[in-house]
Amino acid sequence: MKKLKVAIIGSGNIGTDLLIKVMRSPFLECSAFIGRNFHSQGMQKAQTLRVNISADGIDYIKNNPDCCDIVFDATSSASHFEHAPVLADLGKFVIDLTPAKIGSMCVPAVNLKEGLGAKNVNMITCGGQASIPIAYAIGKTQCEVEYVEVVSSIASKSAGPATRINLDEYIHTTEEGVKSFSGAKKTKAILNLNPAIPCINMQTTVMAKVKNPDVEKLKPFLSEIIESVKKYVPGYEIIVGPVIEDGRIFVTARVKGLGDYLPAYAGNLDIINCAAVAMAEEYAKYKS
Amino acid sequence: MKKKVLISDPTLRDGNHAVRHQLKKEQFASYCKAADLAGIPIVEVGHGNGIGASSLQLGESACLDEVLHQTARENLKTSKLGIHMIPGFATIEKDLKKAIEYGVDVIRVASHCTEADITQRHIEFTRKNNKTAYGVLMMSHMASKEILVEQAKKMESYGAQALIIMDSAGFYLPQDVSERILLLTENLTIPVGFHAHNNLGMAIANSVAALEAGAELLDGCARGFGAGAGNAQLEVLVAVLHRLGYETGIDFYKLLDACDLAEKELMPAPPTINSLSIVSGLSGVFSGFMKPVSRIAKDLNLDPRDIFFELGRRKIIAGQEDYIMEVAKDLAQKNGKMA
Amino acid sequence: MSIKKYQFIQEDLGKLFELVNSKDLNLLKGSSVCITGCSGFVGTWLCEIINYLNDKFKFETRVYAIDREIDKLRNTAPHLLNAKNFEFKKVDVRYLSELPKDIQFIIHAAGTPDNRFHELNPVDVMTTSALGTENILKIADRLSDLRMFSNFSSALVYGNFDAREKPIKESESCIGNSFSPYVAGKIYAESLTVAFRQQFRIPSIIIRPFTFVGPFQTLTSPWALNNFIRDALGGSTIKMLGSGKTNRSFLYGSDMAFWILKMTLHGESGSIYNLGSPEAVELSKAAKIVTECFPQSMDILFCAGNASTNKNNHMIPDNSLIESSFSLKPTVPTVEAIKRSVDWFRIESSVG
Repeated sequence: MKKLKVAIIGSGNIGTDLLIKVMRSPFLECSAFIGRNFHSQGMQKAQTLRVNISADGIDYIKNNPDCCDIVFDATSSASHFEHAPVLADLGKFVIDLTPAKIGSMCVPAVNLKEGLGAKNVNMITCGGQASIPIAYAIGKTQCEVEYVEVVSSIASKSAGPATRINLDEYIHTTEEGVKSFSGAKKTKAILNLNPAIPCINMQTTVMAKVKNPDVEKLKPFLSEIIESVKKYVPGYEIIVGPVIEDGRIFVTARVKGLGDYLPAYAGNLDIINCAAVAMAEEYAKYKS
Repeated sequence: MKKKVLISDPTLRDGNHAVRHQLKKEQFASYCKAADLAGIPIVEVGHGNGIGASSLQLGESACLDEVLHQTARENLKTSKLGIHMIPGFATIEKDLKKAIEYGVDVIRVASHCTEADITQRHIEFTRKNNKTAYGVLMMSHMASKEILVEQAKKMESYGAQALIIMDSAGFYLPQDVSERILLLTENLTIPVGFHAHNNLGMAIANSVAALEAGAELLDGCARGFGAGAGNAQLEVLVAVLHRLGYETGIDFYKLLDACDLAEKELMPAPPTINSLSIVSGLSGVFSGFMKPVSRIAKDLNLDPRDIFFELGRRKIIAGQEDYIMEVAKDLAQKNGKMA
Repeated sequence: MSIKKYQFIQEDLGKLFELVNSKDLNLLKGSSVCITGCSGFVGTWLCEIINYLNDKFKFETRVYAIDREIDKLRNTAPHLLNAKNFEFKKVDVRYLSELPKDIQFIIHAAGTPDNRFHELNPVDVMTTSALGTENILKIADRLSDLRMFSNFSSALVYGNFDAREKPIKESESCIGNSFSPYVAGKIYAESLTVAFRQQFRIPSIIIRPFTFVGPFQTLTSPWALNNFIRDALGGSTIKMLGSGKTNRSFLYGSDMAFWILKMTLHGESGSIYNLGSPEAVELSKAAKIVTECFPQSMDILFCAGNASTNKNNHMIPDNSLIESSFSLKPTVPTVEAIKRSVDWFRIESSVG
């Protein structure tokens, strides 16, 4: 099968990690790894992998419009606002990994096909990716989902300055995503940064208040959807539940990162990248 | 010239931990009135973990934040109305904006002691709206004094007008407090404060040590009503401060009346240091975990003391109550009590 | 390296572990360590001590050792190049791009304190400290299980020791007016380590080395004690520059290596630790100790100009912090350290 061409803009740790994942994919091929300077460690890595690199930023795609069909944008919020219209004009399928999130929300295990209909998709938040499959399962199997709460703990070290300054946005976006996919009347998201060394893996707990909670009904549906999550996030695992604790449904998931380029404890960053690649692969299959 | 100390009273906030955040509107009104009469400078109210913290994770409040703020505001004529806020739980849009609309005066923006940079926007927002912003470092025993200074300096740069360190687990001994407060006062230009917990019976002694090391703000709760073994007992603290020659601006008799009222109306019983409190203090785990740990230990037939020590070993911080389930599950499996 | 020299080191380490407990270093067991600058004095000692721990105490510690001059080790300690669990990489730390994912401890000792090199290649010296440190910290940031990054700095960052009379604590500084390129680079590297700790939360400590003595030093290095030994071995009078009242302390290589590991394994992130013996010795006394290693009587010639007669340079660490934190005290007393070093250089010069 012919691989679909992908460009990655952003040669930092996220972009470089994406590159390694793309290179492993049977459906994708990285035709351009684009940054702003050749000296970054990511660029060096790309060179050792013999990938075509460019320090021209978005101009590279403008000047070589046929170089790719899909673009991963792993730059910054401000840059994405600049890139998005350009890429839209060029008819590219854009996967936005920045905090900008101007496009459609996508969780591969839940709404992969809908993502294909959009031109710009984002992966919501790490807490969203980890919790929405569970929240979705609850929404589908329980009657009257009044309230869903998502609590995520990530290693302090895996939360960079962008995450920290955008904490409020993280919470709002996650709440919106969970609400949309679970049908809950009300949602709440909480984020904890834990500085312990050795670094903790990402852990997300989903708690739901539903009328007459039925765990037995939830279990098979949840198992099935978790299996689909595991297909693109191998390090995803349910470690507690589903159980009823203090009258509410309680499920905890842990995400261990693959450690491709990002550290293994950064499951929060890895789940986003895995989801992004899963989205791209689906697009590639759809296009072929 | 007499020495001054600024007292902040979180009876209606920290105390809320002790009753699973179930304090009612009437209780708020009642204590606020009495505290205002006594001239307590700042009265802090709300869910134990601050605005926007009402949740399944931390416990749901009996009252909405808006209701509490409105009630408190109506009953505090001269005392300032304070709130506690943790970014990651509360947001500016959903929680802080409304609190400011309801007339809150003092906003204490808090983070875990190594994560001060998550408070930048919230402190800046508070200052922009002409309210008083204090920076708070929680679970401060989990970082060295040098790291505390680094973190405190960040909050100072964001515009915090005072910096308070909390002994959230009641872990400190007076020497620990002196060292930290000394280094903080040497390195900051803003006043430094201390918030004590009594798990090892040291709350008053620690507060005095803080003062002697240069602190200018102290927290205290009526009868010590607060999380775990409770806080520095306000009326005792003020008595000691007056005896040491500090001016608090508080009317002593009226304060005693307010605390008698608090004992009668707010709490089933005044806090004591029970076995579990001692264990949580020693293990350095957040005092607010007492209730969920007890509950889960009971459900799973485990010794709650074991759960605390394990949580301490894993360095679990405030806000991570969901880990209690996991730790309990692991312990139960180890004990072979679970299938 | 001759059998004699190999055995010399094994003897030193054997004596060390009779006096200290290898269990103090148990965190190293089964772990993975990166050492930069592995073929220098510090790096070689660290490799030797870990190799010893692997051999005698079954530590099974893996070492990833890098240096841009790996070939030096062929002369100084060739047995290390074949040691089990050791991987050597010839690369300049400024251009390193990756480290094995499982590295848990990094001891960054790349760079040379040899001021002849500083005079000749100041840009090289500064960029090694600046770019080299930045580069390895960026890589450290991506490791999955980093426990500690130890930045090997220099006591010279304290400034000018001329006016000092007592040992110096980590929290102090001596005011100096100008810094050599080497020292400027080291100060930058220290600040950069702190910056990475604050921004990227890399657990790290700073180690400030004072003066060392022992195997793997080069006799031609411009240190006072090395000069004395070189003069004495050459059969000539020992030449003392200055009044001889300058104070130094001499920490033996085996103690140094043990202390570095203990600090790396048990240190508190954000801390600075002095690395040196607390026992102050006047250089004239040190020279005298050297002469006592020889059967013939030897003279010490003071060749000072007017300017140096009253200088009392006192470069001694105050070890109260490391004593209270780690209970570290030298196992090799100063006199023995100097005498043992003379023995080493005797073997080295006879073997060639």
